[in-house]
Amino acid sequence: MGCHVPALLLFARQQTRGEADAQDLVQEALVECWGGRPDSAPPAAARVYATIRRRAADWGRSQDRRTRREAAACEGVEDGWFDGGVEERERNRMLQEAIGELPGDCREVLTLKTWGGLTFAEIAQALGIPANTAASRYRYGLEHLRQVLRRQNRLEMLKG
Amino acid sequence: MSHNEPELDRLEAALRAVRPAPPPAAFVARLRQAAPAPAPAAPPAPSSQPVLRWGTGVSPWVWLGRLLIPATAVVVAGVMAWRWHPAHLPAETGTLRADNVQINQDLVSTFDTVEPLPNGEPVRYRCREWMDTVVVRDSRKGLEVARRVPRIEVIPVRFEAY
Repeated sequence: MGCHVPALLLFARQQTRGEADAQDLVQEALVECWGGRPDSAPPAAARVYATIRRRAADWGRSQDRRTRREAAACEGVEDGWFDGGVEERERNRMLQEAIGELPGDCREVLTLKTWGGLTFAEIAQALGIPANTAASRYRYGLEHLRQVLRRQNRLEMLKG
Repeated sequence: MSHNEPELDRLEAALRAVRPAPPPAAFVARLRQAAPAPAPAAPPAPSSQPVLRWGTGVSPWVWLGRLLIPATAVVVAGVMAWRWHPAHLPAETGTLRADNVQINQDLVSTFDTVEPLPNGEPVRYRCREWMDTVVVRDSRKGLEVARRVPRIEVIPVRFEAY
């Protein structure tokens, strides 16, 4: 399950406003999904993503004001979404901004597919949508991301 | 919009090449602490037919105890079952084994009386005198035991009830 943690954390970061909240979210989702399995077998990744999403929605409702206040206080000190050295720092920041501009439902599918490694069937299970919808959201998200990057003249930068 | 466009394919490949940021070390440590402990190995299921083996390092006295305790329990249970079976109970000559019991309640008399309460309010009491009779018979021995117990039933009745 450890290999999934970076993608889980990336997904949680997109669902929350603060790094601390994202980490808490991943931990609670893992504990919840793992808790009911006495054999300690790792839970299905799609189930953990679904739990993160559901808990993030709950948090969004109950802690909206507090999180917004903390996010404002921590602005600028959050960890980046992507890995890389000094050379990739600008590219990662640009990619993070571009992904942030995507519609939320497309961003979820793009993240689960690209970095979570889930199939469209698993994404459908995690998000509670038909697999065809997941596939179309992925294509739309990819196209939207290309337009954002092209508008910013950063498409070539990403392709390296 | 076509997903097969080369530019989209290249973008997709470029996105896949970007790795999510690794989780902070403190977070990983926290996750390890929160992770459930591996389930302990399940103990071997007790066999319904225990296999007895000598020479496995267990004292012969222990084996003897293992054999004797259940055997003794079985013998004791058998003896008790035999002992308490009705056919094996000793004949009890002095006791009555009732096979017929009758209870009769005979109304002997009824009368009314009036008594005042402490506040002066008169209360009417309806009194009934009963004779309860209990008859126990043991037809096998031809015995019959009867007991008669008088009983008085008092029912207060207010005048307003009339």
